[in-house]
This record gives sequence, C-alpha cells and structure tokens, in this order.
Amino acid sequence: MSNSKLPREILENIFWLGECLEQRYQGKIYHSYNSSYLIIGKKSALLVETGHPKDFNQLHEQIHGILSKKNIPLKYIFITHQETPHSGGVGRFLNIYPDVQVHGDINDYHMAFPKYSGNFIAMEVGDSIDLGGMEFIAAEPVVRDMRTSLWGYTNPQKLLFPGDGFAYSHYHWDGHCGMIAEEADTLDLFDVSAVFAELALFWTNFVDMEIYTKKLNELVDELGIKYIAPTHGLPILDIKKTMPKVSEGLQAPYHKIAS
Amino acid sequence: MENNILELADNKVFSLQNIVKLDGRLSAYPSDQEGYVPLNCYLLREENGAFLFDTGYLYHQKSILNQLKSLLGNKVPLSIIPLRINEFMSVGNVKAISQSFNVVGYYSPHAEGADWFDFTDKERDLSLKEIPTTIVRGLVNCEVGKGTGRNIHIMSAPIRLINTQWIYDEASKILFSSDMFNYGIAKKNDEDWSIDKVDDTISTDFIKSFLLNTRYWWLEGAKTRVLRDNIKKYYESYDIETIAPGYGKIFKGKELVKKQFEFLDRILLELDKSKVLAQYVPRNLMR
Repeated sequence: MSNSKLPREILENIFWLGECLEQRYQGKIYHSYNSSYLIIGKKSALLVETGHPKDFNQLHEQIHGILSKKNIPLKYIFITHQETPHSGGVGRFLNIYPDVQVHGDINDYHMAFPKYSGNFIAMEVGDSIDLGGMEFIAAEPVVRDMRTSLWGYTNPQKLLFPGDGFAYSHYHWDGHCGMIAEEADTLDLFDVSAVFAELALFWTNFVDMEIYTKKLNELVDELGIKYIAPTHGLPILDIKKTMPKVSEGLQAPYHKIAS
Repeated sequence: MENNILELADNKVFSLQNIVKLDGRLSAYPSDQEGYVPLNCYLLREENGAFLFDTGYLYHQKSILNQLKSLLGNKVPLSIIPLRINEFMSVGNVKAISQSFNVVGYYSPHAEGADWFDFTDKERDLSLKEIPTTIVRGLVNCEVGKGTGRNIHIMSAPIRLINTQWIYDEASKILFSSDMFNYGIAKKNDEDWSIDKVDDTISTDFIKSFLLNTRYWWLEGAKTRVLRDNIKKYYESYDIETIAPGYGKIFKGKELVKKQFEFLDRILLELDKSKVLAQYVPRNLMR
C-alpha cells in the first residue's frame, strides 16, 4: 500500500487508485489526488484516468494487483480530458497493454502519442461501453477544464466520474488520505473547494457558478446519480450531505471577486 | 525561412515552427476550423545561455530536435519554460531535449518540474530530477545568459483557462502570449507565418467566435471588468512590438499589437455580464 492509502474498493468491483500530490498554500501543506478508478465488469475492466505522469509505477502496481486477483483483462481506458494529470500515463499504459482501447474526447492524443494513434476511439455524450454486467456511459461535462472535457458514469451503480468537477484538496495532517468525503469529518469542504476553484479553475473566478451548480443538480437528477468519483477530490458516497458544500465552494471565488 | 525556423530578432529570438493542417482534432482550435497554423516553440539565445519556451508535441520531436540543433550547440546552458505545464503541446519534448542538450534548469509553477515531463518509455528517466526547478509564481524576472543584462519577465497570464505563463523579453520587445492571440490562421500551407499589416479577415466577430469556441467558452456573461483591467495593466507595463503566441501566426509591429489588444478589450466589454446574460454552455455548442 502506498502513502496515499490506496487502492480502496469504494463500491463492489470499483476501485479508487492513485497517489497524493502535495500542494503548499498560505503556509499549509494540502494534499490532493490525481485519482484513477478501476471498474471491473464480468467480461472486462475499464480504467478511468491514467494519473499524473509521476505516479505511473505506483498506479500500475495497484492495478496489476487487482486485475491479477480478479482475473479480468484491462480492455478500456476512459480519459476525461487532455491535461497531463489526467492523461499523462496513457502512453505508458499502452506500452504495457498495447491492445487497450482509449475512449473519450480524443483531440490532441494523435499528436501527444503518435505511436498509438489507432488506439484512441472518440466518444460522445450517451455512448456506452459494455463491461459485462455493467456499462460505462459518457455524460455531459458540466464543469470543464478544457472545451473537450467529457464525463462518464456507470450503470447500474450510478457512479459519476466528473474529472475536474468536485475538485478539492484534503488535510494530510488530519489523516484524510484514502478517506471517503463523508469520513473526513474535520475537512472544511466549502473552504477546500473554494481554494481549489480559485487556484486551478481560473474561469470560476469570473463566472456566476450558480448556473453551473444548477446544471449539476439537473444532471444528477436526470441520470439518477447516487455516488461521485472525482479525480482530485475524495469520493462522495452521500450526495445529499456533501454536494451542497462543494457546490457552495465552487461559487465562492466569484462572490469573492464580486465583493 | 529555413528548416521552418523564423528569426524574430537578430540572432536573439527564433520561432521553431511546425505546421499543422486543422482537421477538427486539436483542442486549441474550433472543431470546424479549417486552414493551417504553426505550432510555435521559441528559443531566446545569447552566447552563454538560452531559454526555450515550450517544447512541442511528441509528434514533432524529430523536427524540433533538428531545429534546436541547428541553432544551439549541446554545450550552451539551456533553460526550459513550459508556458502551460499541464498541456502536451508545451511539455511533450522536455524529456528528449533534456537528454540531448545541456539543460540546466526548468521553470515551473510546481516545485518538482521533472515530475511533470516524462510520458514515454517503460521507466522514468530519473536523471531529469537532477535538473533544478525554479518555481514560477507571481512575477519572476530572470536573465538570458549570465551577465548579459538581458531580462525576461515571466508572469501568470492575465486571461487564461489553465495554468499559463506570459513572458516579455526586454531585448526584442516580444510578448510570448501562449494561448491568447492564436487566431492568425493560414488558408494555404505556404503562407507567411507572421502578420505585419492589418488582415481584414481578422475582425472582432471572428475573434469573439474563436474565443467562445475554444478555451474561453465561459466568457459570455462573465464579470470581465477585472480581466480587462489586468490585461490593460499588462499592456501598459511593457513596450510590446511583437505578439508571439504558442500556436497561430505571429503579429509584428506596434500598431498591429495595439489593435489586437483593442480587439480583445472590445470583445471582453461586449461579453461582460452588464451586456449579456450568462447561460450554461453545453459541450460542443458552436457560437
């Protein structure tokens, strides 16, 4: 097990993977994740996000351990967008698993990984991948870091993978590494969501995010989402309790500038 | 232009260009945009030191290494500044360049620059971690070549989507604007890759549509006053004669530079929340 206290099975056959990234802000050391998630169906496995370039060895070790036990092949990768903390490991995964198909919005990848340009398959909202007993479906990316972002969710679990949505750091000093959001009871979700948005999602400083949080609520209702597995934040297993605090945090930078 | 290298200031600044045909597969351009654009890396050179801004996609690795080789021996101390550290276009060849040239430093918003640059091969090249990183936060001034007195100013871009730096070079009066002012697009692949007089195809409407269909979909109905103030402050702080974007044609001449800033200011004013109602922008909406 790595310093990040991962991997962790957050729902049956869905594993949270990755490593913490240290970030200094106003004299404190925060941790945030560049998480990946491994979804094990009856026929095949799908990896959501390929992690930060520095984390590849640890991530692959985590995946290899799980796949060996489950005896299910990794057939698919889904990437939410083209930034390197999300897709930086894809070339290395394809070195090891050259037959894996990489799904998502596939802009730029033919230039970034020319050797593997044939492995990338475009998905649009509503397209799905059958994993055997469960499916992965592409969804509207409400909070985007690039225009080409794409989200996804699983059926029947209704677990949403929102990439840079629901992004927030956690307190390493309070033992939050590896915890579900609802377990980290000393984490000020409003504050860490606000800080992350202000620093990493520049545009949220200038846009009234109420429009976007309203759309988020609509998406959750429309798709019947029950759980959320963000790339940078801790997984959310109680949406009613946690989502309002994160949404308020997302709106905070705009209100700060407005005031 | 030899080897797709454009000399922007006599023996001091070079654009290492690789031309791509737009076919809807680059996230930096609108999905329906046609034409040709240069992807630009920039080399600032003095006899005893050099800086490289961005390193290009892996797809262009051979070309970029050859371009650099033709301008720089492997002994000149070279520092690398990726202007958008999270993007493959900026960091794709940091590793290959570090392995082939005398790279003495990285400039990055993150403490361990080398952790962000290695995407290929089965194992990481941990020797990159021996190259020191200078952290770029706020305004950072540094010298190109020790004792030359040639300063560059690195700072967070006043308008951006992701973590982005703008750089101003005092000697050449060039602003390196990364992913702003990227709308200089050629119809054919043998056009000039810089613009030095007013181009009628570049209008406020064209630029506005370009911005909304690329990295700035969020501007409509945003609070743009702060952005306008910060951009104006930047423009007034530096004597800019050339705008050198990370991709797209280069704008040369004080008047043309002024015009691009005026275009941007006008567009931001038109998009301000006082003029337009903000709405949710779905993926793939073209405006």
